[in-house]
Amino acid sequence: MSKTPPLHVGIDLGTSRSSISASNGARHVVQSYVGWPVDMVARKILKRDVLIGDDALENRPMLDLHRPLERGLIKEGSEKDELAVRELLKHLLALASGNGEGDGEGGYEHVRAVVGVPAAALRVSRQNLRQAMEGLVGNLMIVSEPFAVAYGLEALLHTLVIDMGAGTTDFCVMNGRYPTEDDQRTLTTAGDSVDDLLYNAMRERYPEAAFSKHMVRAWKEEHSFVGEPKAPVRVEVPVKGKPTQIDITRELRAACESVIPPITETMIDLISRVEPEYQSKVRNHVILTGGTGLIGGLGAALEAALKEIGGGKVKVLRDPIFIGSDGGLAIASDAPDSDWEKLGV
Amino acid sequence: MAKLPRIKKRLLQGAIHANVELIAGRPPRAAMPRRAFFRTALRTAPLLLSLGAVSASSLLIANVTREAAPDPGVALRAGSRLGGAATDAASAPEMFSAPAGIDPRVFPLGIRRVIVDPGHGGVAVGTVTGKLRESHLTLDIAWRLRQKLTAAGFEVAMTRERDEDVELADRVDFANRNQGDVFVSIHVNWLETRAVRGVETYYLGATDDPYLTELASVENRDSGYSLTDFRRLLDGLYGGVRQKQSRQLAESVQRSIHRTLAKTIPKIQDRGVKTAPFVVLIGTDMPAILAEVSCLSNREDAEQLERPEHRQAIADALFLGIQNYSESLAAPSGSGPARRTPLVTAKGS
Repeated sequence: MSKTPPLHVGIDLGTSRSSISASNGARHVVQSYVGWPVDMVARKILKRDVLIGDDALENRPMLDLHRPLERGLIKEGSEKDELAVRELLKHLLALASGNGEGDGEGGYEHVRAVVGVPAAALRVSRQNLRQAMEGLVGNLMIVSEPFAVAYGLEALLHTLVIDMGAGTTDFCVMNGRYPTEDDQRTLTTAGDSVDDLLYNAMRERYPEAAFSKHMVRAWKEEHSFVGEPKAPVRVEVPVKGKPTQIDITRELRAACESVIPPITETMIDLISRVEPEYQSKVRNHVILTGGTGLIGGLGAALEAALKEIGGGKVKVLRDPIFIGSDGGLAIASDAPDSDWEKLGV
Repeated sequence: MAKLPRIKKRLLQGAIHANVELIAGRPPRAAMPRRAFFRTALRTAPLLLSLGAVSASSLLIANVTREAAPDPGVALRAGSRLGGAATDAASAPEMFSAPAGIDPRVFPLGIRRVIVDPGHGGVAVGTVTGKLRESHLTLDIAWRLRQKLTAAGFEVAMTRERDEDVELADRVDFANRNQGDVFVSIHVNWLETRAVRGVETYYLGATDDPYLTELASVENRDSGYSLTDFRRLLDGLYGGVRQKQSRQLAESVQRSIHRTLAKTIPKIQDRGVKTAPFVVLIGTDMPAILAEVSCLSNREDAEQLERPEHRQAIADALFLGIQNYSESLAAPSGSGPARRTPLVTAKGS
């Protein structure tokens, strides 16, 4: 038994970004990228065995780069991706515990971690995550992401949480008890699907322009909107090597608006399953969070859809980066020691 | 909010319990086979009640059999390919015995309503050779089949009646809402070995064949189901009392198509009745098959498919297979079921 006092952490393991919040006050976010130098030369230049986050992205030409989480879960069938998730977790734990280099295997036995996964994550996927955490932390609790968000916000009754990430959009109705499968949904319509649509539409309209998925993602994060544009969206791309301004307003709007039908349909379906006397309360307490939830005008579009069933209110959380990990930390801190002892890794 | 600490405590207990169950290797609450069992029990309750009534009238009803009980192995294997949920349920402690299947011969009702599903449509054209598109061919054959079935007194509902893209989930929903007695999905095959000409028919089950896995993956793409929906569908495998009937329907249709087409195409291969986890077979509540009625990858087959007479021959063969299956249920004349619920119109209308 470790004599070090427990460090509680909440981890939001995201397809695009992962964040950690710790009971010692540390909060960190990293891009969910892990890369290994492709050869001895790259290793010599980079002077590291593994690079993570922005560091990995910046040096990607010299790396075997992995984005190991697909739809918020460890990609199946690739040992390298499993290893990458482990490296990512080690990195987050090292940042949170104030040990930049990490303690290596078995170095965080005093850590009690709560990790959020997509609402509809299969048991097999949760087991994979437990395996990835083996030896990294002392105790582990896995919860659904929207549940962690709701817990952190203390929105525990008559609330619908919609967490729009890069890989998945998770829905969870909070009705005062631990959500079951029937209270939750996961859609793969999320940030990545918007990126794909935008990328393809731009490829079609500007076949000679040179741009990458990373650039498209950055433009989306800066300019995304639904409804009428406030101003034309122009970005600079090389066309035959020459920097050129191109208009992507129409393509960006179409890509962003593609999320509205499945999101509204699922939202209304979940609300319609709530006990009738509480439906009005849930309609008026919809929380939209996650990076993709920040698409301009999306909250208003969902409110417009709610008018079909009597109207409602959608609250958009403007700073969603640590919402999930803060919620995880709240769960970790509130869980009694006696219960944590049941959750050894 | 005075209630908050109490609610938090309850939520934490729920979260801890779910994790303890996970560590113990037990499925989450909502994925427990208990639900599937009760659902199956609910579904079969009217039948069981009917059985009791028939028994009271001293009629012989010894045909309640376990033959059609779901094969846990089928679900286990399907789960290994389609996700963990089925595996979860199959590997759960055997707390409940599998629901006993009921031989439909106990109720000699025949079939009345046929759901015809022309594969693909709209932008989802399916396989293509020259100007021939699978989506057009399946629709043409479906219309011809509908005409035959209607003339013979069957009710027919088509999942699509024009060249439009209908999601697999919507096809399943349409079939279930219409309470079809059987579901027949029409497709045209594409095989790597272009020289092969053959027909094959599928019903629901797992497969270890990499080709069939790939085929199912392609056909199930863009099914319109969310991950949660799909887990529920896989739960439905345990209500597999219809699987035996699906196999019999598949055998009847396969036999009929091969025999019919072999008259004009002596080289045509009988590629047999197979199992595969296609979404339309998983989600539908009735005996369901997917027939690959020809091979568009074969030049001669493609040429034949251009001829209306050949497409009519395929429709005739499908009709004969369905009719033979219906007759095998030994429906005495005039003892058909009461008029069914009204047909629901096709998707979108």
